[in-house]
Amino acid sequence: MLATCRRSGTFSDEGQRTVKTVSGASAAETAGSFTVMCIDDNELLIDALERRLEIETGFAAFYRVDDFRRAAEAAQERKPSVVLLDIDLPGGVDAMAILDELVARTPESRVVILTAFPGGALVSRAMSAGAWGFVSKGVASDRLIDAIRLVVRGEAVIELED
Amino acid sequence: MPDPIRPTDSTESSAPHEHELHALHRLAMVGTLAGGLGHDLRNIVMPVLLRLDVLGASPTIPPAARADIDAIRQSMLHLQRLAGGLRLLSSDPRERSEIQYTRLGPWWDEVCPLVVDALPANTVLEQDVDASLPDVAVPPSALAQVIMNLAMNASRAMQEVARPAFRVTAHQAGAQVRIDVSDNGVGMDAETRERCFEPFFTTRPREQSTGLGLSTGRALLKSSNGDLLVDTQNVAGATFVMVLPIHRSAPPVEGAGSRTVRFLVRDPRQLAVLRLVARQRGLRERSDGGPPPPDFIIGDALALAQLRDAPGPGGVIGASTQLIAVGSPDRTPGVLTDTPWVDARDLSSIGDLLR
Repeated sequence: MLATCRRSGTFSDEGQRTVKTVSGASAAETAGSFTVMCIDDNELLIDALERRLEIETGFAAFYRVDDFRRAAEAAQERKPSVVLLDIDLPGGVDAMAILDELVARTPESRVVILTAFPGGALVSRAMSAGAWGFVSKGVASDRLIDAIRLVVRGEAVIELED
Repeated sequence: MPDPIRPTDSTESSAPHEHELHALHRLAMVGTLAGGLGHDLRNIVMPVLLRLDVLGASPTIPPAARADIDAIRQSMLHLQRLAGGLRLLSSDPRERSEIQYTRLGPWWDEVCPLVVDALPANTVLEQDVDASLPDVAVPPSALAQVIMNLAMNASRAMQEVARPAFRVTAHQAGAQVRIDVSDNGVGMDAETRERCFEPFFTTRPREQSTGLGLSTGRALLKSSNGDLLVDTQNVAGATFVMVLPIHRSAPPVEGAGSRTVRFLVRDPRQLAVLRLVARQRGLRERSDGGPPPPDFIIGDALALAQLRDAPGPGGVIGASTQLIAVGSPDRTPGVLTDTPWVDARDLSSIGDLLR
């Protein structure tokens, strides 16, 4: 168990969630379930997101990261289906560097960027760097959940407010 | 719309004084605070919406509580729009990353709550910003900053008015959209109307006003080939007109006449970005390869090379169809020597080719 990563979720047996990735398909696609890791400093959002995902069919586990500088290490350990990465992390932590590290170390985990204030160039930069999704915190909550599901299915998603 | 109480001495220098610089500094701080507040609002609203989803999904919720949940959700969505408006106010429209066109209906939905807050509490707001108006080629943040300045000026001009009224009406006039913004305040005298767009001109005490609101607003709109005018015919109150060029790709009628684009890109992430940029420029996506040919075909270099060499059922290239390749600097120019291309690592630059 990594000190940087706390797990909570509906399954207590970790063995049930370990699914080998086959021919490019994510673990979640193969198993019909999905796991989510959240890299964000907003505890209100993290707690609410976990509660919201718990009522989603197929949701298996939620991981939260305490030490952002070791986020890629935590993802490599847990191999979540989707990593939600807040672009505005505190303490001078470079979220784009974390994205690069996640893409390099855990390509089977698909990264979705979250941000309160999206900018056009940032979307392009993040997606070019390997993110599968880019979601503004200004959209309705169901669009955030839909985005997670679509990314799990292998579709790329950009959800900005109209 | 500035009060005609204290016209500025016409001999006064237009260079900023120390108190003007102080006011500018204060404005910059307020702008930063507005941006931060919008950011924090969004970080609070999203968790509340997620919790409401969970509550709403419970089968045991009584009908009355469900109505409460819906009402809270509506309040939260209002806050979310307010946060979006604060973002528009604090953004720099000249930033390249800013979206350079505006869909007026959604824009007004976001900005209207801020405008209402800026006006006296008993103001009657008359509004007509139809969602079917064509998109305009002006950044939404520029429009927000201009109309907020007009609303704040109107608010001061209507302070002594028993029944203040503020009117925002938009209509298409040829290749432009004009937004008339009027109030029933004290109005402007002839000299104020003449000079209101001069930088640092103000009718209020220097410590209360920079005198830059209208001149900056006009400069913002002019930089997008628009304009900000004052209606000199208006006798009671004041009327300003925001003149906005219609976005080049915007269809004259909903869904008809817009330029089209077809994508032949395999990577879903690249495709998502390209779709976003194309949509922001008013292009309509064609998923089929049949006639009539699209205005643009954007694709992987190899796919485009194959399509060009053997059009067949894979797609139709018209005489005016512009091919744009997505690729890498070390390979693409060798595959498609006479086709413009964009680096897959910086797809935002494709906007410059979709003109």
